[in-house]
Amino acid sequence: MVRRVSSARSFWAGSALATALAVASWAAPGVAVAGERSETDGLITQVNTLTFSAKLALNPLTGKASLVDASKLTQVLDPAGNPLTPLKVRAAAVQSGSPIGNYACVKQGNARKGFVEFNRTDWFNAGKHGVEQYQFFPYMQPGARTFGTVKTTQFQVCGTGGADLKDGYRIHQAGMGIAFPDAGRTFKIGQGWQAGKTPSDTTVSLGFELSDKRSPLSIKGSISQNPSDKLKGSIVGPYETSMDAFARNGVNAWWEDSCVNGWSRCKFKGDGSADFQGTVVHGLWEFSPADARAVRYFWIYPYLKYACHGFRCG
Amino acid sequence: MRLTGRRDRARVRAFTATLLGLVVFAGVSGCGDDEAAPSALGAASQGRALSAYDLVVVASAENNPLYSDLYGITVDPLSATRITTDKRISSLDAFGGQVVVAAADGPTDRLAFVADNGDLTPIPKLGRPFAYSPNFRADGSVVFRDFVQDNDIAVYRTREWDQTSEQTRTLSRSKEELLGLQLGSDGRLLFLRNNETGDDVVVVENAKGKQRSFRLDGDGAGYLGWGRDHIAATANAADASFGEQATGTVFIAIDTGEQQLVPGWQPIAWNGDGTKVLARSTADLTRSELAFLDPRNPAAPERLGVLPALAIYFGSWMRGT
Repeated sequence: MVRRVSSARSFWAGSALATALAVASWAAPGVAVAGERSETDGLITQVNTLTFSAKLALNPLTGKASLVDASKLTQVLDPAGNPLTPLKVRAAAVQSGSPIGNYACVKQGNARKGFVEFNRTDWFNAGKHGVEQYQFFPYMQPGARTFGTVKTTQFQVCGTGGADLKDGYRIHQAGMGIAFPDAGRTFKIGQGWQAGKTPSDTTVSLGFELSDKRSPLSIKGSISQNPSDKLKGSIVGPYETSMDAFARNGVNAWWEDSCVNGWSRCKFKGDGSADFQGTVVHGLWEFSPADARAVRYFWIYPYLKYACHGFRCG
Repeated sequence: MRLTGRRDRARVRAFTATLLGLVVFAGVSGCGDDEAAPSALGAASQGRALSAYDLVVVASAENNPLYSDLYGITVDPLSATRITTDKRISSLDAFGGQVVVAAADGPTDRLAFVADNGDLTPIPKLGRPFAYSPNFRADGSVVFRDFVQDNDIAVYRTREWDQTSEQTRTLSRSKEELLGLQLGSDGRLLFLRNNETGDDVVVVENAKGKQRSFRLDGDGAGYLGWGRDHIAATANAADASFGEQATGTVFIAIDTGEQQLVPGWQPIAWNGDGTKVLARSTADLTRSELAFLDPRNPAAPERLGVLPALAIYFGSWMRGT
C-alpha cells in the first residue's frame, strides 16, 4: 500500500527536514517532492519474520494449562521472500504483560457433565519492534460422541490476539497457529477462522453442541482492530514453519496487508499496517479414550512478518 | 493457473496425497489369490441398492476409527464397496434394505437413513437429538439412545421412533450410562457398562427393565451383538486404543452365561440367522482378513479372504431381505 504525500504539506515538510532525515534514514538520500514519490520514499531492503513456538500443556485432572518449551525463530528475508540470513532458533521465555488490545474467547451456554474449562494462557512478547500478545483458551469435553461402545473426548482451543508495532515498523502479516502434534493421524474435526475483508470487530464461534436445546454450549472468540485489509485462515500459516508437518491437525489464522498479494509485494516503506492487527482462530480435535489419555499438549505458534524503515532499524 | 501462495501449495499437497491414496487403494485390488478386490471408492454413486450387500460395516481405509465411513460387503465373492464419504459414521443397523446410522454432525452424533448413493437423510420429524446406537425393529421403527441434561444432571434415554406415525416416545430413562445398545428378541436390550478402572460388564435388560450382568475380562470396547444362542463381544488388551489392540472374541452363552474366548479374531457382525459371527484377524489391524466363527466350534474359523487396506470395526448383517 503506497502512501502518497499530500501536496499541501509535503513541500514545507521536505524543505524543513530534508537534510536531517537524509542523514538519519538508512534509505537512499533525497527529498520528498509534493505529489511525487522520490527515491527516499522508496523501497525496503529486508523483511523480518518472527515466529514463536510453545507447548500449550494441559492437565485435565486439574484444569491447568501452561505454556512451556518456548522457542523464538527469526529470519531476515529480502522483499521477494528470499532468505538473507539462516533461520535462527533460540529458547524463549514466556513473558507477561498488559493487554494490548480488546479480545477474548468466551464460553456461552450450558456445559455438559465432565466439561473442563482450562485457565487462559497468554503469550506476550515485547521487543524493539513492538509487542505481540495472544491468548489461548483450551476446553475439553469427555463423552462427546459414542463410537460403537466407546466414548470419545473432544478438545477445543480458541486463540485470539495480535501485534502492535512501534513507529518505523509495519505489519505485513500477523497471526497464530494451533496444532495437535501428530503428523500421521487426523484428529481435527472442526476449525474456525474469519476470512475476507477485516471488520472492526471480528467474532468467530465454534461449538461443543449439546443436547441442551435451551442453551447449547459454544465458544465465541472476538477481537477489535483497525478495519484494514484482510483476514485469512488455513491449515498452514502464511509462511513455512516446522508446524507444517502437523497441517492435518492444525488451524491458522492471520491478518494480512493487501500489499502481500498486490503489485507492490510490500516493497515500499509505506506498505503494511502501523496499527494493532490480529485475528481469532478455533480448532476442535477428537480422540478415542486411550488417545485422549495420551494428550499432553498442543503446539501454539504466533507469527509476525514485518518491515522496518525508520531510524530504529538496524 | 499458476500457484504462488502458501495455501495453494498446501492445497496441492493435500490433493496430491488424496489422489495418491486413491491410486494405492485402487491399485492393490485383485492382488493375490485370496485377496478380494475392493470396488472403487465412491462406487455407491453407481446407485447399487443397499439390499444387494450381505452386510454393511463401519470401516476406514486409513485405520482411523473416528473418520470411518459406511462400506457394503459381499461375502462370495468377497468384496467391499464404499458407500459414504467423509461422514464419520459411529454406529449403524440394517434391516429390510434400509440402513440407519449415527454420523457426526460437527462435534455431535445425529441419526440418519442412508440412501443407495451414500447420501444421509434425516429421520422424518425426529428433530436433531444428540443420538446414537440406532436399531431397527421388524416394522421399520428405530430404537436408539440419546441423552438430555436435566438440572445439570445427564439423563440417558432409550427412545423409539415409529415409522408409521413418525412420532418418538421414550421407553426408559436412567442416570446410568450404558453403551452400544443392541435390540434383541422379546424386547431384550444389550448394553456395555464401561468401567474405567476395572473390567467392563455386558448387561442384558429385559422388557421389564430387569438386568443380568456378565463381567468381561478387561476392556469390552468394540462390537457387541446378539446371536441366536450367544452374545459376541470384542476382547481387548488393557487400555486399548479402539481399533488398535483388539485381541479376540468373547462368546457368552445367553442361557448359562458361560464365556469362551476366541483369540486372534475380533467380531464384526452376526450373520443373518445368528449362528456365526463374521470376524477379522487381529494379526494386522490395518487390513481385514475375514472368517466366520461358530461358537459351537470356535477353534475352526471358516476363512473367507482378505480385504486389503481396509480396517473394519463393526457392522450389521442385512437382515429382513
